[in-house]
Amino acid sequence: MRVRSVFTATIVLWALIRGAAGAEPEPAVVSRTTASGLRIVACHDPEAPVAAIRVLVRAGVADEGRSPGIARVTAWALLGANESQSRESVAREIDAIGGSVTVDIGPDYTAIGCNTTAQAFEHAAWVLGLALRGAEFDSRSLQEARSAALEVARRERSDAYEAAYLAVRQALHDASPYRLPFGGDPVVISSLPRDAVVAFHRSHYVPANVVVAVYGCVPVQRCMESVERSFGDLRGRPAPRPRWLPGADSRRAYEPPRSEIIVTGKSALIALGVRAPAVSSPDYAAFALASAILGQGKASRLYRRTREALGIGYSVGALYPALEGEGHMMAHIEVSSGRPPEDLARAERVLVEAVRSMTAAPPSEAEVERARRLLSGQWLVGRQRAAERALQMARALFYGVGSKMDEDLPAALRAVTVQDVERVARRYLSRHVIVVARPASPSP
Amino acid sequence: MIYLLVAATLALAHPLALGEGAQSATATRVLPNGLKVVVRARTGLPIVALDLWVLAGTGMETAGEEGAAHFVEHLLFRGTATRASGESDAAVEALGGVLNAGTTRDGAHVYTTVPSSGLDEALEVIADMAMRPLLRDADVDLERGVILDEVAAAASNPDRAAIEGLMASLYPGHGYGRPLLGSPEALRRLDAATVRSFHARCWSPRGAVLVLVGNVDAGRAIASAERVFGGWGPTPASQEPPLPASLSLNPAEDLPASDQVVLGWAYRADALGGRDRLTLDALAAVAGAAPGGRLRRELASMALPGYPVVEARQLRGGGVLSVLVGCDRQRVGDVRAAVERVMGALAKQECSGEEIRHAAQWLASCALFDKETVEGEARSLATAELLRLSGASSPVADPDGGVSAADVHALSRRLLDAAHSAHVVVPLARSGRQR
Repeated sequence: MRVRSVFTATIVLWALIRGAAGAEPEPAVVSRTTASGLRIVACHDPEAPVAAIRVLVRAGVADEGRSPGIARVTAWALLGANESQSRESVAREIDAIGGSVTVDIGPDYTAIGCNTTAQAFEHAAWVLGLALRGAEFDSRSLQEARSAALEVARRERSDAYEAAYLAVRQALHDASPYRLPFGGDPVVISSLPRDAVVAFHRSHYVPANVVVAVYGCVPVQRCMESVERSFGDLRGRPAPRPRWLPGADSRRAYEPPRSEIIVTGKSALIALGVRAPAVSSPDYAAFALASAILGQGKASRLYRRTREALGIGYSVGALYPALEGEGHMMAHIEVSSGRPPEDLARAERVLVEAVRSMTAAPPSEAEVERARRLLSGQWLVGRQRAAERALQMARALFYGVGSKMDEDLPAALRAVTVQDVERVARRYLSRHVIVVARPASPSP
Repeated sequence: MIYLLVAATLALAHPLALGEGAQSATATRVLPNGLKVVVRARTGLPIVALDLWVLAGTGMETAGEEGAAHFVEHLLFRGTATRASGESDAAVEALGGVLNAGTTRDGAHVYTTVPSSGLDEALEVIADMAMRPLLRDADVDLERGVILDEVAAAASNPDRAAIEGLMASLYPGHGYGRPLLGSPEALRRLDAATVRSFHARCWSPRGAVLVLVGNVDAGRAIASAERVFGGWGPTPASQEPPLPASLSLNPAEDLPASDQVVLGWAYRADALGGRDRLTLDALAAVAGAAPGGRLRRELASMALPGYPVVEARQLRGGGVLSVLVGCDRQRVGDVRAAVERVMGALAKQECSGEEIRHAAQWLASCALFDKETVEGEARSLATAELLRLSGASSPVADPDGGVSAADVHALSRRLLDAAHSAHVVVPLARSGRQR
């Protein structure tokens, strides 16, 4: 394969964790953009026992337009037959990789990943590249993808956590694509024609929409050559018209402010949602700390007030996903639906009080410091996994936020003051929505 | 998950099975009180995993103690002689870690991963929880609700329900056959005195292992562990309850009234040696745990969505091979016939050398991925100690005496028959989260 390569190579020195015993310099990250617009980023870590490839494609839920679920069906059918192999051959090729292939669909992108060994790396890159550029979307693969996507879509409406998360997003976002069901629409999915999938693939799986990241035990030069060989002739069609970026929800009041939904299972879930800053916002780090003070870890306010003090709720926490546009945070308490109704009412009251306390009783220096250390520590622990490193590198390029997004996170957290946390708490936590998801009949 | 863990455990026992990666060296010391300390020093990120395991799983529960093992695990967080409820968590979170605990059929463990500079403090927190928990009456009452909430959440997982049904049939009346979390009825009955008695009997340094893996100095880490845990007084060794002699008969099955179901099969093997355990892993891989395994191919050829979950579950008292398949209600007959056909063929005839080689490659990959994190390697080492696998046998498919097709066939003949097997069918609810 011929790849014209007048590319700029950027070397970013990864942040060092200051003061940590035995810290060693981080391996260098090298990125490159091919003539067709494909972006590649690689990092050789000779101490990593494995290698991870992560491919991000701007083909997420936000790109689905009038076909909610099409991104998932397309991505899940990629690994069927392709221009040169039957689906059975592809299945055998995947077996031979020796690791695993994963496909995840998020609001901003589709992520395709493979964890593999040094020996099987070229093979893995080749399998992924072939799937991306040459998927045939044969009828059996499409049917299987539709069935699996249908299950996800149904679960999003029946599982307590997922259904509550959807209801929270729909109440918070009036125009942003984050209000869409991440699992898609069952009616759309079950009747999605092949032509629509092929058209979606052709318009979104184009070089300018794709980031490939490799982290692990394979030298950078080998990574670059292999990825360019495998993905380089991804068809250079023009990228689709830029979508309307999230971030401009206009509604002042959240609607409805409180709702109840019926789900299956034996648990009830009480969720509280607020809008929250985008990953590129200057408030991102401060709000991440506020979210951790509220609901991350067993020393968080929410955990201590519910599970610790009242013995209510096994799963208690706060979710603050890093998103391209203005996003959201959801705090929750999950309890047995067999509890008496007054326990559920009490859990809801305490959840609201915990969030209100963030403005009524601003966080102390000690609370901010606990949250800062917790997030920095978990960031460090997460960097052990090649897959996590590859994903972070890919996201940094994808979002165009460079080192701000991941490498500098500890420094960004260190720069946040107690006053910053207090300010973002006042700004983002002053109004909220509540969703109660519970089974129709309580469990015995 | 347990399968991957054990596969990695077994492979980690063999340096030849490991790939390149972070350099490491292992040091071991058995303290006078019986606690075994294993330190694997690695280069790389400045973090360390701490994992303390004690022989206090559900397998140690006696009659009347159902649910006690898991209950104790929860209560460790509700205060010690020197830390109020929640202070242990706060101390570890201030170091940058998250403190957690778990209960299995053989053991219970407390674990965390923290920056290396926090090793001593994290050791003190974990030692305090294991040695000096308060286990007060009021805490038992308060935590009971939390555990019942956990049981309700877990009830949404059909695979879990299937495995628990299978284990109940394989080990009737024994702790291995009880729900790991405890049944709601048992949890409501359990009192503080029973919980305290279980802790006093089973949370002992005898048979326990503390594993530290990470960027630390091994000598200094062992000295720290000795200082912190040296005062843990040994209790008389607690006897492990004997395994039931036979399985309980499967009751006649009625198909659940749901559109989809999970079908489960499990086969019990007692008294496994190190080589037998490797053979069980290899058998599971050939049967379908590994990509390209027989059941995966068989079910794919029937156009069934998804794939079977095949696991080798390693226990101190032996091992269990389990197979779970989710399918539409109308396909139950086809799936049942396919699984029985595949398992029957394994018992009838040796698998091929190619299948053994493929299984060995897959097991080696599992070990590599497990070794990627300090907590993964710590758990593998601790599990090997708990299963008494130190210095275990040869790798799968080693031409110089490794597990062979004949070994796999011999184990299949011993295991894959009605006298050693159980079968369940559970509904696959739409809300099933883990499938």
